[in-house]
Order: sequence, then C-alpha cells, then structure tokens
Amino acid sequence: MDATDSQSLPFPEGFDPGDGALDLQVLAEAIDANATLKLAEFRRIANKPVRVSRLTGTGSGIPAGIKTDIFSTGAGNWVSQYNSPGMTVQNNALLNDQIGLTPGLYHFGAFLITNPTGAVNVNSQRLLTLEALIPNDPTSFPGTTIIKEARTEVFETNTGSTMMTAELEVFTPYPSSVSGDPFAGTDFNAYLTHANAGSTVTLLTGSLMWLYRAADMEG
Amino acid sequence: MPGATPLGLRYPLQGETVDATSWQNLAEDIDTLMTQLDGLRDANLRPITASVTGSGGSAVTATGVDGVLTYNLESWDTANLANLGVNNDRLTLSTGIWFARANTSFLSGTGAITFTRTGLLLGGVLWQSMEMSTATSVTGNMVATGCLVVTVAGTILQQRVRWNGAGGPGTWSGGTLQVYKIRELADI
Repeated sequence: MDATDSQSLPFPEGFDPGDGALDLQVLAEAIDANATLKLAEFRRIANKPVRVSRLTGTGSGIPAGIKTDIFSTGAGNWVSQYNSPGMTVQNNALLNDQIGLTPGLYHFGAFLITNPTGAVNVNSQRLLTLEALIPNDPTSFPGTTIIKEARTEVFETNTGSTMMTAELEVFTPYPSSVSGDPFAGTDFNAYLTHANAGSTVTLLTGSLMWLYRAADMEG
Repeated sequence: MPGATPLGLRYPLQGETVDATSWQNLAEDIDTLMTQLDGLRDANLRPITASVTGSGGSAVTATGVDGVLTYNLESWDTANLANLGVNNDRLTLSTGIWFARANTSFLSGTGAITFTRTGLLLGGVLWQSMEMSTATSVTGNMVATGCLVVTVAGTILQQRVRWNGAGGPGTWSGGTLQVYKIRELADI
C-alpha cells in the first residue's frame, strides 16, 4: 500500500494484488479523517465568536472630567443582541467574557448616545475612548497595559443628544479570561469623558457595544 | 449492505463484491463531502458583500430634519442585496451578523454647520450613528460610520443623515453604503 504525497491517501502499489473491498475501505477512512480536520478548521473560522450588546435604559449620571467606564455606568441595562452559540451569559456580560481563547485579530466597537441631565454647556467636549488592555508582567500584578487605544471626540452643539462611534482592532494572543487565572485575558474597555460642567451626562437607550474575532494572524 | 465512515463515505465490507456500484457510491459520497467543504470555504474566503454609492446629490434636507440617502451606482454586490431600479435607498440583508458602514460628504446649500450626522437604519429604526461636530461652525463636513448589525431575513438597511446649522436646505452627496457578512446567526 502506498499513499499520495500531499494528503496521504492510500492506494495499492504496482505489484499489489489488491483487495478491492479493503482498499476502498482504507481509502474512504483516510478521506474521512482528512476531511474531518478540514471541516473543523473551516467551521472554527466561519463560526466567529461575536458579542453585541445594547443599552436598553438610561445609565447613571457621569460627572464632568471623570473618565468613566460605560459598562459599569449602564450596568443592569446592557441587553444582549447577539451571543455566538456556546456563550451562556446573555445580558450584562463583559464583552470579552467567553469570547474564546483563540489568538487573533479582534474588532471592538462602541456607539454612544449621550445627553446632559440638566444644564447644557454648548460646545463642551464628548470623548469616547476604547482600550484593549492585557495584564502586566506578573511581578507587577494586578496592573494592566494598554496595547491599543482609539478615540472619537465630538462637541455638544446644543441640539439635543450627541452621538459618537469608535472602533478598535487589535491582535491579542489571549483574548478571553480563563477562570481562576488572573494573568490571562484581554480587557476591552470603553470610557466616556465629557466637559459638560453644568450637569452630569447619561447614556441613552440604543447605545451599542460589539466585539468579534476578525481573523487569524497566522497563515 | 456497505459500511460507512463517520462522515458517511460508503465502502464495501469484506466479502462483498466490489463492483461499479461500490465505486459510484464512494465517488458520490466524496462529491457530497467536497461540496460541503466548498460551502464552508466560500463562507470564509468570499463573504457576501455589497456596496452602493450615490454619484450625485441626494436627500435634500432642512436643518434638524432626518433624510435617507439614495444611490445610483452598484459598485459590487455578490448576493443581490441591492436592487436600485426598484428601491434606490437600501440594501436588503439576509439573516446573520454583518459589518455595515456608511459615509457621505459635502453638504451644499447651507450656511454655517454645527454638526453633520449619518447613521444606519435597520428596518427603518436607528441602529447606530456618528456625527461630526466642532467647537466652531464650519461650512462643509464629511462623516463616516460603521458597526456590527444583527439581521433577520429581509432586513432593510438604509443610511440616515441629519444636519444642524444655518441656511439650507442642504444637499448631501457621495453617500456610500457597504456591508459584508461576518457570520451566520447559528453555527454552520
């Protein structure tokens, strides 16, 4: 019995008397094993981990000049719009939770609708900051290091709510946290900073966050 | 009765006669398996995508009024998402997770502008938006946006615009609406 060079599919050699039934079985099983690996790899890539969450209520007030995490600000109101099959947490889940352990290029984005709760300072800043953070060297735990950051800045124009979107793509070798391992995982955080000194600013229903694995990074 | 591998490739058992049917069965099962692999390969290498653009003015709007852009050019469309001859203001999406983006540029016919805004409508409801504003008014602006959208079969995606400022009505131009599919809702 010989085999093909690339895929190692078996066939009878030149002077092999051959056993028709056995030869076909061996060939079928070899193709099956080969295809099983290819199916698994294709499915892993096609079935990308994705999480989309939407704010369904008004968040708590954010004071001026304070870089505030929008997830904790909207806590209790982030409702899942989509979780990839296999993710068990539905609502109010941090985006990297259960996103998987496969290294790769990850895309993180947020859309915020903001509105002052009282007095409006015309032309005051609204700054949306996205950060991807990984743990520092264990000797300096529990610190983290920002490995990529994106910002979008707009200004209140005294015309009602202000909208802004920011996106970030980052390669990370360990996207998700491992239960019990404080040194693994990448935090994908979004913050709002504003300069509306006259009143606090809240996030409104419809604000959005998303995270997905865009691609592998190895050929 | 032939045997079969876990993926369903049939082969003759020991003692069975190997005949033309034996070969045909295996060949057809391999063909089915290859077709399945082709489908997964296409999903990975050739995601469904479309892009439509407006080459002229679109959506003449007054200050503070929402408008929906129209398009007259289909730059590409791999799955008949656009049908500009029937509806020139939309892409119609199938079920899944998509990345959608939109941009538009230069608002003519206005005075000083305090902000320009473009967003994505799903089924006529605002899903996401982006605005460009500055601490001082300007006389022209460009704005782009993008995000993930979650759709069911037949979801209509449109591009909404709005501006605030003096003068008008203003004419938007160069609107572009693009999508590509990230994944199906269920695993494939």
